[in-house]
Amino acid sequence: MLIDACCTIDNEAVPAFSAGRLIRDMDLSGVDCAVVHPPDRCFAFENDDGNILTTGAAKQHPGRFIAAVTVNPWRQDAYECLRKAIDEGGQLVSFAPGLQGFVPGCGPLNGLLERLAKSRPGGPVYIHTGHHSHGAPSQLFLLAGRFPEIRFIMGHSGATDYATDVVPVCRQRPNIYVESSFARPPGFVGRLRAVGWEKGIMGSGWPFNDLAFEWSEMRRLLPAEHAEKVLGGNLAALLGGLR
Amino acid sequence: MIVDSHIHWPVGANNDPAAFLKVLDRYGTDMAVVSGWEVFLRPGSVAMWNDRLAGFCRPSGGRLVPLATFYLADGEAAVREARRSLEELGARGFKYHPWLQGENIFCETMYEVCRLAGQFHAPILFHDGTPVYSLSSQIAVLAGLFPETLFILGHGGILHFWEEALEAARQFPNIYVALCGQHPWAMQVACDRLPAARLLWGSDYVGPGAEEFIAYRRGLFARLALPPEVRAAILGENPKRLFRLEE
Repeated sequence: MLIDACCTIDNEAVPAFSAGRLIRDMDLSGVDCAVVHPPDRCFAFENDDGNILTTGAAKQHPGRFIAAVTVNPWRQDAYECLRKAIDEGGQLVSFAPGLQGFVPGCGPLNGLLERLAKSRPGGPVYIHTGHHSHGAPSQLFLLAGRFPEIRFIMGHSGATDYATDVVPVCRQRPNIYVESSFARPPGFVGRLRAVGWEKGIMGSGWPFNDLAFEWSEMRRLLPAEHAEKVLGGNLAALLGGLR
Repeated sequence: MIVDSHIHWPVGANNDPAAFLKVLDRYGTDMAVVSGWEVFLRPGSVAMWNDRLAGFCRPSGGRLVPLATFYLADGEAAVREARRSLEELGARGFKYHPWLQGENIFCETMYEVCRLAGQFHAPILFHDGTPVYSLSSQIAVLAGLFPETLFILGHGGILHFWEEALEAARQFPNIYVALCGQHPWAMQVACDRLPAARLLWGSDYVGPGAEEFIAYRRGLFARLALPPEVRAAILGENPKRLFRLEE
């Protein structure tokens, strides 16, 4: 199964982000399934709207979308909001520290993750990284050290300015996986040689990136014997054995 | 005509221009405006590195054009080195990387270099898109102080500051934007909103082993929705004019 771990959808008023357009692009590249993340405004503020958007799309297109859901951890009702979104079908919990105004490893996310880990053991958590002061891989390093039972996905692999931090962080944190969007296939594949192929997760960054081009470049550069894992197998295993 | 306006070569590790030209040939690149690499990473004489880069480019028959650099901590000597690079070494501008070079750009030495660059019509290509010394908006502040000087945002804000870079270019006509490092969405918006004459393309290739980055960034550019004349301007006419490549 080929899975794209990073696509962003919005409502139909924003045609470039429409679920229908994403499915068309996936079909053109032979991609079976995509994780759909909410748009930036829904990470920052309109969390519930974003979660309804992604879980709704997953229900409307069964088997094609995995709903990423989020909540701004500063909210007083953060856990309840997130729990509701998971109950509605959210499969991947996703946070964007740069947009949500917190430092991974510190402050409001810790309490939320403690409750989440108890109610949803084993569920992976996707952290957008690369923002300079709120989303450095080293901050995820601290977070992953605090929660060794949670498996984290390092969204965007620290792209761009923290690319050099990825290998030393991942070597010390077996509970961190790395996702490729915006990290550019040549650089990402090179780092996987050090991090481990079983830790790599393909994401295109659609619609900011061209899904077809990102997939063709990744297919071209990945060693054949590791492609299946990176192009979907690793994420499927993380999510509980998607078939 | 394809000119790579943002490209590096490690002249310390490999001083053979034929090796570099072979890489350019492989990707159909006609000319390159070349920045060094080691000079941004290690201490030592910046003059030595500028000399080596100029000597590296000289036998290329005009296909390789050097960009010199300077270290602000050198004070007046930095300005003298900048002038020497333009007058004696054939540099067509400067590459400055505040993040790697570790220097705050708001100082009298930088102002002097900006004045000098303005007098020589020599662009300054900045790394941009990285706090704390390399924000696109910080380069815009310099552009406001020195309207006669040409500034290039070498990455157009990269991933997180591309909108800031567009606003900088919108406000200051002496700012150019390189399509080099942004995602294609940001590149397309830059092409749609900015005058075509103020756009460049670059691979940010850093030397042997990184050739796939040229293929990747050429592929991103090829997929942009652009009229042929705009594509030709970005790849050829703009850098030829900006760096005076035909002189």
